[in-house]
Amino acid sequence: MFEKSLWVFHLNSGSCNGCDIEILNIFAPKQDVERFGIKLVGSPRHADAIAFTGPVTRECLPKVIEAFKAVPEPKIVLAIGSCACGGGIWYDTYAVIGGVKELYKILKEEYGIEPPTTIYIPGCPPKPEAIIYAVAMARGLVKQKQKREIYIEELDEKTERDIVEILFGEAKETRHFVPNITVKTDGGEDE
Amino acid sequence: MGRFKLIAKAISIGRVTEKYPFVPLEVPEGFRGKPVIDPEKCIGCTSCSNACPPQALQVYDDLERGVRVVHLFIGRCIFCARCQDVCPTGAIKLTKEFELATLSEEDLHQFVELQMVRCEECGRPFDTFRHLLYSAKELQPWEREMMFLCPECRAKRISERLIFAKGGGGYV
Amino acid sequence: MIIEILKGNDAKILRHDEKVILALVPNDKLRTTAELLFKAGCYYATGVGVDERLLGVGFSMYHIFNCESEKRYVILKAVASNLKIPSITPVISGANWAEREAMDMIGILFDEHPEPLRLILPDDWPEGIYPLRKEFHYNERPPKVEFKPPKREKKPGIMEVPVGPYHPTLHEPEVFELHVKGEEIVGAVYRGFHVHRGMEKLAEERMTINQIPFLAERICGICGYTHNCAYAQAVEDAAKIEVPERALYIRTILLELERLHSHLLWFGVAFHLLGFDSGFMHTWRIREAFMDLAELLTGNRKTYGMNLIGGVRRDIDEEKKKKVLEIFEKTKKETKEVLDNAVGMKELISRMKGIGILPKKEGREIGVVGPVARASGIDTDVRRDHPYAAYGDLDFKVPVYKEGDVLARFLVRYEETFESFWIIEQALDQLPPGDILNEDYELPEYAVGIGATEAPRGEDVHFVITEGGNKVYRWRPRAPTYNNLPAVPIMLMGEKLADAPIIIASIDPCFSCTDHMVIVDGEKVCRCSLDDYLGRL
Repeated sequence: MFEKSLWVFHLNSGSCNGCDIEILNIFAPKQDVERFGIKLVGSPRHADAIAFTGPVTRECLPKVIEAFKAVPEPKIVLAIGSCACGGGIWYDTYAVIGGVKELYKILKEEYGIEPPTTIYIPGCPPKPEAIIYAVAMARGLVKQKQKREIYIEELDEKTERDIVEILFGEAKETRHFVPNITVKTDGGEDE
Repeated sequence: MGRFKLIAKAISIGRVTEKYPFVPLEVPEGFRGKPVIDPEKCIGCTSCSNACPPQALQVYDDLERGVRVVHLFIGRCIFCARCQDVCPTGAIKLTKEFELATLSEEDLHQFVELQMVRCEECGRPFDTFRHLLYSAKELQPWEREMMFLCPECRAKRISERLIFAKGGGGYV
Repeated sequence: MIIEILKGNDAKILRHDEKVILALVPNDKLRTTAELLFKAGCYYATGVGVDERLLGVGFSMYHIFNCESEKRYVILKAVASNLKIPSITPVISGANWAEREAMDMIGILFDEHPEPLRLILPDDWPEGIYPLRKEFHYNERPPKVEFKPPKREKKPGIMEVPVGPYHPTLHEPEVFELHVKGEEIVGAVYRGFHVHRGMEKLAEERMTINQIPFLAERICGICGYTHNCAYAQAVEDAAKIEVPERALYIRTILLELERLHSHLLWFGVAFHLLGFDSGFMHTWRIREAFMDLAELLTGNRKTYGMNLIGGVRRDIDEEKKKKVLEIFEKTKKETKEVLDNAVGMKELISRMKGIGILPKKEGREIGVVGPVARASGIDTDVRRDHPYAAYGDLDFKVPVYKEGDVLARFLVRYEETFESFWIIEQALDQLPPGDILNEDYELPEYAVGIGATEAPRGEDVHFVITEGGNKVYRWRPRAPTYNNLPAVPIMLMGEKLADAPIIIASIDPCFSCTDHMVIVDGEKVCRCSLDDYLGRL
């Protein structure tokens, strides 16, 4: 759907400027994202995509919602930086809502708006190349690398016994292990 | 006149735009990219979660299943590498990977679940096997006797012993 | 001299050393003391409200003055009786925001404050909940209350031009309305503080002293490292921690590297606003080299994450040193070429010359800092006046211009850029051997510390009260833009609307740093504060 030129509206919801400067950086000569046909536009009504930065501060929330609603469907959201992806370092303070996910919850509950396609770009701030990678991903030029990873340690009874053996094997030999118990049961005889 | 000089300058510099993403990008040594937990090395000691400024690394105990979950949420990570500094076993490392964009927030999580030891006395899980083993290495063999007790039961036993020990024994 | 003023006003001296004088001033003498200090040449840096009820004191206010003649900071402490402290805003207008901030966040009332209005908290925040009081928890989210915007009357002949919160020329959410009569700006309504993220509370409640540097770094994405350093210095000052010399040099190198990237960023923005887009592209191209250098030295392009209390985390080895000097040789030449070329362009210079003038007298009254002050003939530089890091050992010039216009501010930054190259070269050359981190320290209980750095935009002051263990009791950063913004209206007076962007950008404002708001209305342009990178791109 987003294979052609993306027009991007930059929506800052209270970020520290780090990500915003990196967004400008990708329009500078070295990264030059305009070779993908991407352009920053001034009005949300002209945009296909939102470059979303910041953790959504309480003061910004109503304004962010307004701007969000103004972008026509179908739209794609690039959640740039750790603040947008997960609320960042201040994800749970009194003045912050906590990233796009919480914003989508509010949009769903209060306005009945379904969350749009979102590309999460973690980084604090992400390298300009990381943003280009995300854009290339939206265009289908590269494949997603990042995957959810779950590792579950498995312990059978044998390893459990082994651990106990390692812990107490030598202790038993040195005869220190057993007398300690007797201290307790015998009512406090010093060894 | 300055403008013409700039044109000459621009021509002499030539192309500066990099070919990324069609050509991979080299990042310098020591770049702070995606943190990865090596699940084989992790002992679940919680020092990373204590050091993590944004609480992107959280460690919590699932008492019902008896596992300790080390949960890394890269979407909140600020890539400060404090976890790497404090990890006693070198299990968590920041790699050079920066291409982390995903279409789903679910992909940004890493979980490591470690089995926990149940307390000999009350049966409550209180520490991971690996952490117990790790800390046992530091202890003298005779100090290991109460290793399988949870902190509360341990305190209880020590106080019991204090009562029995006639004014303080060698271990109290 | 300062100490005599304080003693003459029954002040109780709590701390007196070569860096800081801390004095407890009785409430009835506060205003006169502040006025005398101001007349003695100290300018107002910031004010901090602290909830000290846990220490058995009650609510208190710390007014921090920068005393350049004695090369130290003077802190006046006043304790609220019945929540009330006399306001010093009638005698020092710079205290206005600081006092209103304390009013909002702590609930201290200031007697005779000229405009006791809400400053920081969102409009829908309920009355009577003060986030920085100790009984409030950082993760509480009080319910919304209905907010009705005040009605404003339309004035005949005046056109209102709304800008923001989301506007093509703004890259930060801020709202302002310019009132124009023909082409002339006659007033402005400004609402900032959209970027209030509750950092101070977060720091004192959730974080430990070695986590806060990373939070401080995220105050601002452009000049984060200088905040990081200022915080570390404040704690080191409070706890009297010795920092290894090598660490100080490494801090200096990184601070200057940050100044280089920030100034080049500003040049680019200024060129863009002046319609010289190829200059913008060239400066940002050169700037990339410094970003790569930062990445090489620290592991990240922006947020360096290099400081801990007591030193730095990464060393600069010979190989990196060589690389830095190599890149410097090239970039220095290129920077000079591009900037000299710009200075030689008549059309560019005539758009900057003679506009947005800030006279020295007004500048001093407001207490402007950094390049803005230096362009108006005020010779101030924290690096020289309150030497920190390794600046005491290094040689550098502080450029000062008398004109006070946009061109002067351009030229100050131009000269500073090359001073930064020179400072880094010296620091690399003299880099002493040894450790880089001193972890052998203990945090005292309730000690006051101040850390100041010269950010690319001016003086950056951090105030810390430690709690002992590994916590801070109160942390308050003050960013340079906070002091520079009130100067913008004076610069704008009588200028054309078309020149407004470059005048505003000439102070290099940064809103995520400053995060304050003020509502001004009416004919007088006084006290309007305008935006940021009105058109960063």
